Amino acid sequence: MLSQRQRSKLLPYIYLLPCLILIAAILLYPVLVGIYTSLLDRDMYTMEGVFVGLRNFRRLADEPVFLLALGNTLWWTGTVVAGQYVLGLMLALLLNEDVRGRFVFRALILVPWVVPLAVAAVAWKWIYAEYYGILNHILRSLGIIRHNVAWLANHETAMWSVIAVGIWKGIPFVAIVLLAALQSIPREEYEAAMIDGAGNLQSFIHITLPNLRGISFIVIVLTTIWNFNQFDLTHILTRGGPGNATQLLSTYTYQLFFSAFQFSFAAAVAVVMLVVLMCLTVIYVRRII
Amino acid sequence: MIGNRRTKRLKTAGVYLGLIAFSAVLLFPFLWMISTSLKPDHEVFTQVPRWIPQEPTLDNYRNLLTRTSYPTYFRNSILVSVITTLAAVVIASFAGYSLSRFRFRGRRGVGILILVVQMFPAVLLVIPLFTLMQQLGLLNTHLSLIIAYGTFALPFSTWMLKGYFDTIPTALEESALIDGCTRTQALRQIVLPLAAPGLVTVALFSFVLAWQEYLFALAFTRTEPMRTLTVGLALMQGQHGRISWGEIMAGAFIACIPAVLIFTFLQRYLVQGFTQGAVKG
Repeated sequence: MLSQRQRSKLLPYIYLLPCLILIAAILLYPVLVGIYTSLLDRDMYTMEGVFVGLRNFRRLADEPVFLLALGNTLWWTGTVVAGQYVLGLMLALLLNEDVRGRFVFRALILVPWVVPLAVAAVAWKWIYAEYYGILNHILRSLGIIRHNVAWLANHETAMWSVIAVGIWKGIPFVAIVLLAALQSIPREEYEAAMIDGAGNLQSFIHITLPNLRGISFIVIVLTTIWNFNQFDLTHILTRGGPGNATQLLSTYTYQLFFSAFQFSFAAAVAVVMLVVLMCLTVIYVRRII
Repeated sequence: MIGNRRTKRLKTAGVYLGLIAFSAVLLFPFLWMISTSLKPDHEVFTQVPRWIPQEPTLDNYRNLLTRTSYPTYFRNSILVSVITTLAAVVIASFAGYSLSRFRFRGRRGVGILILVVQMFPAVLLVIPLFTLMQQLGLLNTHLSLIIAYGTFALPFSTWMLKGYFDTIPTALEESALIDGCTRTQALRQIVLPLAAPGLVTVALFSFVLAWQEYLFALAFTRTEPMRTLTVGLALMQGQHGRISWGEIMAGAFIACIPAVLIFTFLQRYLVQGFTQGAVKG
């Protein structure tokens, strides 16, 4: 029997135990197994797998589809993060203006964020449809295109089509976070600047932007992590196609594992993702603690 | 002075124009979803689509609920999301309370661990977890999803509840402890009722997390009767020869409703949670 004192010393750990066990079993253990698997040559036929060190990673460096997926992922992440940030900032500045009905707009613009991404992806697939799709109809009636475009099945347009949806989805989050920061800038700073004869643009550059610096950094790191990880949208819209044109590291990993059954190779790609993400996470955690 | 007023009016007009343009683009897919869902087939499949249904009908909804597996998907999603929520709230309450009230060895380490595991790439987890679930015989069960989602919800929930408990004064529990309550009684009878808003937030967060998840549902569920909404909906496109977009959009709209309702309430806390401490300086 434990004494009262010993028990109260153990109590904090007892309360934490279920949480920690689950995190260990469902988050930490798989990551360790994943890293270990990436060092074997395990596939569907050799379930045991021999230890091969870093050979899978060396093979990755010569694998054209991996390099393509890596390039696509960087391109996708960079473009979507930049697009979300610039448009989100514009929207935040508009919402920060003192006009009637702005609360209605603030509520309406949340829709892309609150709709489940997988569901939104299905809706966009219908918008992009080659036949009967509304996008082709609009562009045709505006005279911008003559013939229907297969947006998601065409090499030149597929990546941009997915990127557009990615940006669309993320604008509201960026906008409302930046809006909160804009509203916390003291009014006096602007008034003082106006008395000193500063114009709108000057106030924006010298007051607004510096005040947004800290929060912008966090927003950009977070959206980079999320978009780097993104899977649902690409999987539903294009499955990484046509011909790997929209293949990301996430969809490539999934395909290697669940369709090609190259377990170790898939794990190696995922470990590459892990390394990148952990670097970003260190930046995020140091900022936020 | 008049010139000044005119520029001001011009500026207001510009702001409205901008806000309307943004709202139109951001809302469009959602509105188009609703519009399509209310159209009869001959209006869906036409070369010159109309924005608003000419002969609005609920046929798509009726077919969806009677002739497809959609009701099963919906039931599965509700079941998985509700159990996930209950599990996450209970476990995160204890963990958050521990981090908030006790000073013990490794406390800071646990805090950092909880932040870091949130960032693990999902595709790296899904591979070993698939194997693990296979070994445990849990593949193609809802339990596998509940275990996974419950755990994914824990880091944010624990962090959020710890923050909430921090704001509740300790005096009440302390007097209860002196009166002979055990810690767990004090937590259940005094702290948790006071933390109700925090608990609601965490519950809604967990529910939405489970409701909208796609990757793990895709990997773990293999048969029609087990599928959840997101995967069921995404795979509906391939089922019968011509894609019945009217029905799919009806299904998409129904799937949106719980998420939209919950998120509208939740977004304020989510923004706070993810950027805590960032706005201060």
